[in-house]
Parts: sequence; C-alpha cells; structure tokens
Amino acid sequence: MADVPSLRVRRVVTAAVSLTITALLAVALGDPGAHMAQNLVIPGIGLLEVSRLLAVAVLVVTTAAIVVWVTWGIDWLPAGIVLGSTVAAGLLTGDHAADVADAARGSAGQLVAVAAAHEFPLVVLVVGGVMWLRTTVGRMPGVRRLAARRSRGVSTVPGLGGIGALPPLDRSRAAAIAAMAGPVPASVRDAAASDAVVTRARRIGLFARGRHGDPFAVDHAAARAALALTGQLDDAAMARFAGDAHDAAAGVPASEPTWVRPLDATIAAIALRAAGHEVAGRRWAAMLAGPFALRHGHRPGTWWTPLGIRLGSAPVWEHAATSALARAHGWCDDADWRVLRPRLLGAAARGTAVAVDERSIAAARLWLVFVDDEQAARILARPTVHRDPLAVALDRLATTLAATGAHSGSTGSIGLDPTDVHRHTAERGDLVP
Amino acid sequence: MGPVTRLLVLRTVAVVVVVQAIGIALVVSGGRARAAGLSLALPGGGFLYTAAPIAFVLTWVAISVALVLWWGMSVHWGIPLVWLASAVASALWATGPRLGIDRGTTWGWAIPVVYVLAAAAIGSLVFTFEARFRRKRAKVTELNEYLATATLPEPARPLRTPNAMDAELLRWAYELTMQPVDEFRGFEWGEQFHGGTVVRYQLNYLGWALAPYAVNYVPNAPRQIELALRNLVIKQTDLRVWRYWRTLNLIGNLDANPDPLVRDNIMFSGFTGDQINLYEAATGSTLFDEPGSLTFVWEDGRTFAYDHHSWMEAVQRNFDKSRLTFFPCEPGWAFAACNTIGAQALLGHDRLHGTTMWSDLEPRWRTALEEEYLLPDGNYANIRSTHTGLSWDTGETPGGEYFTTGSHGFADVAPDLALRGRMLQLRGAPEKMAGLATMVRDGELTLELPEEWERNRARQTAVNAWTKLIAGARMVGQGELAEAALRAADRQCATGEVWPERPLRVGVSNLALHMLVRWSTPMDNATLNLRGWVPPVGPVLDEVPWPQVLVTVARSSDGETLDLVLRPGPTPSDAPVALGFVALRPATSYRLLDGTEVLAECTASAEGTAEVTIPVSGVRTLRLVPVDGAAS
Repeated sequence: MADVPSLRVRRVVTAAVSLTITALLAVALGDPGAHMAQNLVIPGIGLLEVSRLLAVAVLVVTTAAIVVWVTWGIDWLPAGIVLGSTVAAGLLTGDHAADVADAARGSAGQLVAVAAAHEFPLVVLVVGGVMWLRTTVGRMPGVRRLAARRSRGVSTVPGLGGIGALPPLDRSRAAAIAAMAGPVPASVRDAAASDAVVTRARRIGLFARGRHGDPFAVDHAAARAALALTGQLDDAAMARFAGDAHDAAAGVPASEPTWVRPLDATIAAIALRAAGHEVAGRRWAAMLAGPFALRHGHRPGTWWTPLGIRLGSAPVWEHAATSALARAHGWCDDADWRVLRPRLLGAAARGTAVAVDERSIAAARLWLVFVDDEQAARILARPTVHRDPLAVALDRLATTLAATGAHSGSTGSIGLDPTDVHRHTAERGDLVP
Repeated sequence: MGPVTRLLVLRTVAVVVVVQAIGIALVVSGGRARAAGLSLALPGGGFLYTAAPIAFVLTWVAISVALVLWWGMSVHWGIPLVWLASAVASALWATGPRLGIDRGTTWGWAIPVVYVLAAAAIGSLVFTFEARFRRKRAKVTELNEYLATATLPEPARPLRTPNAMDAELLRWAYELTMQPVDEFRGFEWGEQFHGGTVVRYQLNYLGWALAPYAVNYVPNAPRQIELALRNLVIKQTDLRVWRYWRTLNLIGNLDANPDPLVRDNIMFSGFTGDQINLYEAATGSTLFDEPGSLTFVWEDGRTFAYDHHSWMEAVQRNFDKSRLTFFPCEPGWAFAACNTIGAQALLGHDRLHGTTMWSDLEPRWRTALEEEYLLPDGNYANIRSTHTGLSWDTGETPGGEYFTTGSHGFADVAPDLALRGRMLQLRGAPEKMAGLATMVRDGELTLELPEEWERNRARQTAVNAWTKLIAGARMVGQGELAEAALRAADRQCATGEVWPERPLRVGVSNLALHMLVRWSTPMDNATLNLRGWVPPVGPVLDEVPWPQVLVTVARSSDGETLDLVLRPGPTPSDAPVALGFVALRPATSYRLLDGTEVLAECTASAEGTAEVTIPVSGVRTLRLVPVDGAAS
C-alpha cells in the first residue's frame, strides 16, 4: 500500500507556534495582547469592550467566511477577517496606557506578519467543533427529518434527464458515476461540461487563489473526473490532472483548494485509474485506510490538506457511495457496510421522498453487489429510485456491476426474484420482470 | 357480563368510589382542600366553589377533548390527568383573583350543586346501561321463539360472467396494485389511526376483494392476480402504512417499540394475517412463508423480520397473554370484529400449514365472545375497554353492536354462531327483498338509491347502499335481484374514469368492499379460508403480457378445456400478443376457438406447454380445446 503523507510534525509545530504566539500576546502585550489572544480563539470577542455590535458583527462575518472557506476553499477570507479583527482588538481596546498601546501596536505589526498562518489552526479547531456539532445535531431524529426535507431540491425532470438541474458539484458527481456504468447520453456529457460547472471552477480559482486561465488546471476533482470519464478531457488536460494528483498530498486533486472530499476523491481516483494511472488508486486506498479511515462508524466529511486535519463526518449517502465505489475497486473491505447497514435500511424505510435518502438507497444497492445480505436486498428492492439524478446514476452503476458479475463475495440469492434490486427501478413496474 | 368484564368494571367502580371518598374527606376538611375535593367529586367542581365558572367550563371542554383522544388515540391517562389537574388547580386557585368578584370569594351553594351534578352523571350512566340491558333481555323469549321456528332461504351463489364494469374494476385494481410497491397513487391518504383514510384497511379490503376473483373467475390464469395480491401484502410493510403504531404504542402503552406485531394492534396483525392467508389460499404461492419475507424497517434502520408463520405466532401470543383473550387494536380497546378477523387468520394458517393455532385457541375465544361480548338480544358489543371493562356505541356500527362480525361473519370460525347471527340479522329481510324483486323488469332494476356520506366525509356515495342491497339479496337467495342491482349500481355510480381515479363514485375502501361483495360468488372468503389452496384443474394460461392484456375469465369446467375472456389492458397493443399455456396434455394438439372460428392451433410440448399468438384489440371470448376433445 502506498505511503500516506505524515503531517503530524507539521501539525504539532503549528499548534505549538500558535499557542506560543497566543500566550506571548496575552502575556507580553498586557491588556491589548490579551484581547488579541481572545480574538484568536473566538473571532470578535477581542472587540467586546470596544463595541458589542462590532464584536457580534465580526463573529457573524467570520462564521459566514468560514462557510465560504469550507465550501469553496477561499481560505484567505476567514484568515483576513481573523487577522484584521485581531489587530483591531489590539489597537482599539480599552483605556490603556500609551506605552502599552504603543508596544501593542509595534509588536502587533511584527507578530501579525509572523503569525498569519499560525493563528489559523485555532480557527480550524473552531471549524472542527462547529462541524462536529452540526453532524451530531444533524443525526438527531427530528433535526434529521427537517434537514432531509430541506435537501429535496430535485429537478422537475426525474432521472438522469434532470441532471442539468443539479448544483454544479453534484452534476459532475452524477455524470462521473453515470459514466462508470457505461456510455452516457449527450445530456450527461453536456452536464459534465456545462457552463455552470466551468463557471464554478473559474470563480473558485479566481476568488480562492487568484487564478486565471484554465479553470481546471488545479483542484476540482469531481469536475475533472467527470470530464475524464465522459471522454471530454484531452491528453494535455489529462496529463495535468494526473500531475496534479501526483503532487497532491492525498494522491488525488482536491475538490476545492485545500479541501479533499471523499466522494470527489474516490471518483477522481477511479477516473485516473481508468486512464492508466494506477498509482492514484493505490494512494487513495492508503488515504482511505489512513486519514479517511472509518472511526466510530463514520468517515470524515473532508480533509484539510495543509495540516491533514479530518473534519466532520461524511453524510450517510456520501459515505455509502464513497465506500461502495472504493469497495468496487478493492480499496476497502466490507467494514463500511456493517456500520452503514442500519442507516441505509432506515433510508429505504423512509423512501425516496428526499434526495439524500434516495442516494443512500442507491448507494446501498451498489454495496449489495459486493455483500451477501438477503434481508437487506429484500428491503432495498422496495423503493423506486427514479428522481434524483445522482441516485439514478448510482443505481445504474449498481445494475451494471451486478450484471457484469462484479460480485466478489460468496454466491448468494441476490439478483433472484423478489430481491432483485439490481434492475433500474425506473424502468420496472413491479417486483417481477 | 363475563368474569373478566365484571372484574374490570368492578375495578373501575372501586377507583371511582375511592376518588369520591377522598373527595368527601377533602370537602369536609375545608379551606383549599374543599376546592380540591369538589373537583374530585366532579371534574372542575372546585372551580364552581372558588367562583371560577369559566375554569369549570374549560375543565369540561378538556374532559371532552380527553374523551375523544381516549377513544381516538388511546390517551387513557387523559381524563384522569384532567380530573386530577382540575383538583390541584382549583385548590391553588382558592385564594386567587376572581373575575369581577372579590379575591378569595367562594360560592357555598356550589357544594350541593357539584354533588347533585356528580350523582346525576353517574346515575344517568348507570341508567343508560341498565335500561339498554333490560330492553335487550325483554326480547329474549320472542327471539328464541323466532330462532326455533324460522327458516332461511338458501343464499344465491351464481357463477357469474364478468361484465364491462367488472373488467373496469379489475383493471383499476391491477393498475393500483401493480405500480411500484413504494408508490401509492390512487390510494386515499389521510390520518392513519382510525379513520376512513387508513391505508392499511384499503390494502386489506383490496386483498380480500381480489382473492375471490382469483378463485371464482381466473383460477386458471393466476399470474396477473397473484402479483396484484402479492404487492398488496408487500405494501403493508411500507413504513408510511404502519408508522402510526409507534405513536399509538407510545401514547397508549407507554412503549416506544415500533414493532407492529409484538403487542396489540390486531387491526393490523389480524387483518393482514387474514389477507396473507387468502393470498396463499387463492394463489398457492408460499412466498411469504420464507423467513424474513415480511420485514418491517423502522426509520432508524431497526428491522422486525417476520414471515407468514412468525406473523401468526405473534397473533397467537397476543391472544394467549390477554386476560380477556381478545386483545386490543388500539391500546386499551379490544374490538370483537378485529378479534374475529384475528381468529380467521389463525384458522386460515392452520388450514394451509397444518398447525393447531386456532384449535388451541378456539375454546377460550368462544368463551370470550359468548361471555364477555354477547348481549342478551344476540348482538355482540363492538368494543370493550380493556382498562375499564366498559363498552358503548362508538358510531362505527349501528348501535355499537352486531349479530355477526369479522369479514366472514363467523362462517368459518363459528358456523353455528354464524347461522344464529344470520337468522337474527335477516329478520324481515326476505320479505323486503321479495318486494324489491317485484320491481325488476327484464332483468333491470329501475331504481336509484340515495347517497350517504362516507366515513371519511370525503364524498357522498350510493355505492355503499347498493353493496348492502346486493349482499342482502344474495343472502336471501334473490340472485336475480342481486344481478339487477349490480347493473343498477353501475348505471348510477359509474364515473367512466380509470386509475388513478376510480371507476365508481366512491372511496377506495368502500369500492374494495363493493368488489368483495360483487366477486364473492360462488365461493366467498370464508369458504376459501376453510378450503385452503387447491390447484386448478385443466389448462392454465400462464404467460400473458401486462399491461397489454387483461384476463377477466380463465376457468376450466371439465378439466380438459379452458374458457377465456381477454380484454385489452391499460396499454393495449395492436400487434398480436403471445399467450403461454401450461398444464396441457403433453404432445396433444389444441385449438384456440373464438366461437366456432379457429384462431390458432398449437401442440403441447412434452412438459405440457404451448404458446399461441393472437391479437387482443377488443373483448375476446375464447376456448382452448384439445383437438380430440369436444369443442362445443
């Protein structure tokens, strides 16, 4: 198995430096320094004495900036806000003696220049906490149902025909997975290369890294994988894709700058492998066994490349889809199925009224290609997957893999009536062919 | 009143006596306690004493709501809670502010008034029950005399040829049931606890309706109807159908277990158990005998795996552990109808699988029915509270009682009681039906029946009245009247619409019950339940394309030939369609005749199979005959 980059030393050094700087600020610069240190821990709190309104505003803006960062990889935005508010906290706070203020101003200028990258881990900790809280709360039954209701967002055209109505990222994912099942219709190819996908990549490149030119030069694992799998990536672009993977810590390009998401990474590894870059698959398998390993029944929702920090938990459907795709390529074992099974059966019981449940059901059907579980097969045969394009793509892939005998477990009754889940349910009228 | 009911009622009386005694003690002690005591004497009575009449009225509004919730949602603790809360609140309010009156004012006159009201309430309750009992007991002599002398005509059990409306109804039922199993287009959705929009009952009734169609009309072409019946059972395991139980179990039993079979809920376990039996008896399929074939999955992924056998064992366990023998539908409410259907379910399983579930239970079950539910006039109480022992008219059946019940009218589980009940319920009916029969001219009944509200109040319909008339006419042997009534009902109630709308102007449940009556001849479900599965004799039409072709008749009267009526399905085909036959005489030539015209010829394989291809662009009345056989 390929090596996984060890970022532990980097994390330890960064944490130590950050804590030292924070402590120095608090100790050496007196009151202003203490406010600056506080502000590093919770952005805005250092300005509480200046203006409560300002403090709250900074907190809200920082939170929004963190969301933007986590979503699109625009890391300088929260960094800038934290930095600016910390300097402001040092400069504006309280009735301080001039020498203290001067010292604070002078030191702050120096410290900021050094600390710009080091205060960030504190924010990362906050982000981690927020994501953990969100995941934990999101698993509570009532909240889960509300969240699921919000997530419907399905196009009026059901099935793959509605792929154009998906958000750009999901569009790429659906196109890539559909292409894994075999030749795709023009609508899927067009969706993979649609303006929305290109525009998203261009904007993220521009705002996050100031990039111009080819929007797919770096990162955007899902979009580039979809283009590769639908045969729309020329040799040069494919070479850049492979080169990007080679240089990346995770062995595959990031989804957005510094963020590696498990499904996108898996899709990218599959696309690269299909293009002959076997090493990408091996490196990603190592990541799945390392930083992205199953812990307490969950795989991380994302991985931050600078420090190799895993954040949050992948949603059930994404976990299931990721692990099933990885299982199809021999990159993981059946441990994921064992922990996912009740959650996926729960999704089957809830039905296909919301997209995340429909995706979970389809991902579970993909898993059934590899595990012998007659009871699960019976249950998963009931829902009709036909609405959400990503779910339909997963379902088609499951059908294809089952038909091509991808089953690598012991022979079982899966595929026999009435538990034959490996037929595209949108094309069937009932349980009998 | 049987021993268990007596015990429960005495327990209820004892509780009331204790509460009244405590109330009196508190009233005597005076002060705040007096207000509490008066509220124990009569819910909210203390509010009258503390000069808060609005709170008194609100208490009774709350009591009324609690009563409805007790009945509707098994909120057994609702009335005691309101009662107790009114006692506590009135005590706390004793020195509180008053509306337009001085703080701390008390109305001394309220003490006698409260006790008079309490006595009146209890007295009227006792009087109502006692008067009803005495009225019924007074009829005993007359009824016994009638039973000793009355004779009933033999019921009409014609072998019908389905007409165009039968075909429309069958096509509607197939389209409804053969949509993907997780889809419910065409069903009526609403609250899932009690009312007329409960989907589980729609599934039950459709299963009950299609089973007699399978044995009476298409015994020799089971493929389409088997799938329809199967899907109806599978749909019962859909979470949306049985999710209600967790709520009821939590409220009524304070039990968070969502498993719909493990405790109470006979209106699901008994009804669907019966449905599974009839599916198996009508089609011979043992699909649901496979372990785990009926698995319920809760929304968190917990599974409750059952099959036909373990399902019935769950029903049996519930019967066994119930003190009353009859066990509840909704927590705390044991219905005679549902427990009769539960009994049918055990009997059906015994017949199909050679078990002794019903025979083991039968003596206890009969004792419960005859001692705990039987009223002096031969009626059975519809419900009994398993907490209080009380029974009253819930409005679901006339007078809250019936002479026979269950979906088979005791005909299979207690034939003697069925006969007695039929005699009692048909008292005077032959004469009325004979009067109606005189209105039949040339096979037509020129009559329109008034429309009445359906139980879910969604629409008015005349179908229910027609269903009762058709059933009644058949029960007294007026077969011609029944057929004429069928045609008249079709004329009055047809909508001309197809699935997902309905061919008759009526809701799904009542439409299914109409189909049940319509198709339950010559064999009804009671007979089918007793008979079990009997394979068809003669040729069998096995392969037939759906939704291109609808098979409305496939019967073999002699074991050699096969009579078929084929109609275009919901997606008809202009191209000829392939029909695959099995169970033919090996290596024998067959002709498919339309009247005397030979449509196709084929020779059976060594396995007795053959295939012909014919167009089905309209109604085709066909007969498959061996070449050496009579084609008459």
